[in-house]
Amino acid sequence: MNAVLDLLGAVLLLLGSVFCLAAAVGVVRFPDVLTRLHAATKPQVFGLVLILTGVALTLRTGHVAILAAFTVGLQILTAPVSGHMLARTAYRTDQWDDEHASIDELGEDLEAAGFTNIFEEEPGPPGNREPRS
Amino acid sequence: MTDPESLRARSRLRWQPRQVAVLTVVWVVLWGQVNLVTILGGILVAVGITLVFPLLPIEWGGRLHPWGAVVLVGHLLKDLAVASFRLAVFAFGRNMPTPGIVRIDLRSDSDLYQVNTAELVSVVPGTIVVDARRRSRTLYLHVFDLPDAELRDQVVADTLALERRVVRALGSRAEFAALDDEAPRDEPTFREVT
Repeated sequence: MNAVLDLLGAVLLLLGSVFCLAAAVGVVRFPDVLTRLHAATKPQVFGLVLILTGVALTLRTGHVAILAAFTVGLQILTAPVSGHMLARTAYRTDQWDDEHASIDELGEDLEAAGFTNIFEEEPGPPGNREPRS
Repeated sequence: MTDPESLRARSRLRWQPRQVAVLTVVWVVLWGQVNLVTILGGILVAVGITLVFPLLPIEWGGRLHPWGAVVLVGHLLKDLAVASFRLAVFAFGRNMPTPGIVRIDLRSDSDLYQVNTAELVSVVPGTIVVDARRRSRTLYLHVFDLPDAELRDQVVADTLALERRVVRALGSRAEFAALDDEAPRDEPTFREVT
């Protein structure tokens, strides 16, 4: 029984690490701030869930399990908040890849309400403006 | 709706037993031992936190439905797995995503459900909330991969289904029933700065 739990824990740890790696690779490879945010919030949270489940299964003490549950819960609660703050700022300072976007209904609504993005004219920092291959 | 200013004024030095209880439990878990010192210390820290960072009072007419909550969490974990897998495929693959921003008008009319829906939609499948508006209960979602503008209807349907599960888990019967009527809403105009 213990061997099975150990094995399951190890597999979960490995799988979680793969997702965290995917998140890191995504942050490097994705074209703009908003898509990178997706990489930073989602696979990483899921990776953490898997890793902590693996740790809880390997250590098998009540305290670790509760602590892991708390960590996951707080991560799920806080990751979207930071993600939203960054996304909103990135959008409003026009640091996102609107040329490749298929649809932008927020832009339409803002324009209909008479708002213009004052950052629209100036190119953003060079790092964010590279054309995609 | 109550005037936010008056809510804020009376919330400042409010006694918030629920938050104190939750924070105390967190504190005790962090210490890893249950004794008088950790519990009293936890209560002290919790009261301090609620005084320094008071939560706004939330108008909530419903109650927690256990089965609805189970369905919500189950869907959340499934969506989290699927979304993470798809993002991982993109991270290692050759294709780059085509993003899009979609407007979603929620059906419920409550801060609590809007916040919860926004929160969960951000954790879940390939979407991040870029902007949210209170008056019209609108969320603007940045969708990770939306190659065709026609797919926006699918995103809207998914989000409304999520909202439905949130209300199913937390709302009252009347609120759940109200999801189905087409209530006229304010047109999106940016009169309110939120």
